[in-house]
Amino acid sequence: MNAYARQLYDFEQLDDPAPAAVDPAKPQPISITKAASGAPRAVKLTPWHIVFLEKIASLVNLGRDWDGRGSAAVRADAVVFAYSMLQSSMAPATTPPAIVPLGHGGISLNWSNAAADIEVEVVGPNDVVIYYLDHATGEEHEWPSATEFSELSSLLRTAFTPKSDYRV
Amino acid sequence: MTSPPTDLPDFASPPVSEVSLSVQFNSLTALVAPHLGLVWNEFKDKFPRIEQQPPMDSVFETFAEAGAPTPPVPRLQMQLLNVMPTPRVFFTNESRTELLQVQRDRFVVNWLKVGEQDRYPRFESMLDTFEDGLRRFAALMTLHGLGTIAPNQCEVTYINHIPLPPGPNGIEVMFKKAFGFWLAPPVLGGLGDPEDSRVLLRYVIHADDNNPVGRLLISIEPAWKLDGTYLLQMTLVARGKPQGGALEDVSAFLKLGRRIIVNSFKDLTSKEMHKEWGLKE
Repeated sequence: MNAYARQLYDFEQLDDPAPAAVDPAKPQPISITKAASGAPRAVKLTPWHIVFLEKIASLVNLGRDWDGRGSAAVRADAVVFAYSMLQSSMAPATTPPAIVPLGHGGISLNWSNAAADIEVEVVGPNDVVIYYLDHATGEEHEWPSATEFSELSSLLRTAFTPKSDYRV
Repeated sequence: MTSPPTDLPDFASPPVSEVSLSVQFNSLTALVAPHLGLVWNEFKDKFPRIEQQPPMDSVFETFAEAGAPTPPVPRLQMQLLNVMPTPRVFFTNESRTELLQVQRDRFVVNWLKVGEQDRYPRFESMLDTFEDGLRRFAALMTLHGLGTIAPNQCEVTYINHIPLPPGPNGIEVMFKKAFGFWLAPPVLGGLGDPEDSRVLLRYVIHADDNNPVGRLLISIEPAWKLDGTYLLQMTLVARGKPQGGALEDVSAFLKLGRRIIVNSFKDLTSKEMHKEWGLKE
């Protein structure tokens, strides 16, 4: 990680070891993104924050055509919107989602366990599709959403959050 | 220019020192720094001065559980370090009282009180500048194949400067005078008045169908100007999603935000101050 990235990347939990000495005579690979934050260091991040930020840092490194099929690079505004959505919807101990890039530049957030599957496709800001499957009943539900995520939050709380958890 | 609504509080000398109207849109990823010269060329008759700034972060108002506390966690900034960041540019008029801000995902019009003689040009005049500017900016982006404007958040900001009286405890004196009827910091035994106070309030803005569309954020805090004047700075921000992607939808949210801000300002401040600021009955 270069010095600029290190300066921006101020989560202690995610710090890499110190970089190896650089030979200035040799061309260096370009260091790219880390999700950055201006948060005070005293703020404790929850497990899902850490997982999200680590995963996003790797996804935005992919650039265009990351799958060899001409897919778009992951959109920064889609990622920032997804983060805002999770901030509204997740309790501190909610299970972090699996995150995968999508061909149109959005991202997909997925939760899965014995009780339920939830898939949230973030196409871009204000453009989200949520899919829910209840394994016990077989009930499926899919709906679009823009900025209101009460139902998603309720499902995440029911199926993917320890009962002892509460919001801080 | 449209007339101001007659059902809104109207102050002859409001303490406003800055107002901004802003739209955030899906990032124009094809827009790079040289294109900003094309934008300046479009506006430089009225805004001949230019300044470069780091881009503002994207901000989204999203909603889930009513009344749930917001965790004290950071905003997310995304910076691609293998790509030169496209800056934000300021285009300013000669007197530096009006400002256009442009970046990949924002278009903003500001009015700033630079000298004591500067008078707030009023919201309707600013909205005209904003609408005309956004229309021209969008046309320019289309003309050069840089993308279309897809608004995702709108924002109205009013910053008010309320000077403190001379003498000790000016902050508390003015807090009580301007906001005292609803905010009364406790006097603690042996300690007296607080040395300093600040206030942060958030409200959810609902649409006619009662769905949340945005938030009103209010802060009141001590501040000082470069000339050494101490004051209370009261900032009111109304931010949220427009109902659709058209310019009319953006304008509708900005009008709603202005309405909410002006009414809230009146509700939060005292009758004594209303008199000083010339509230018209």
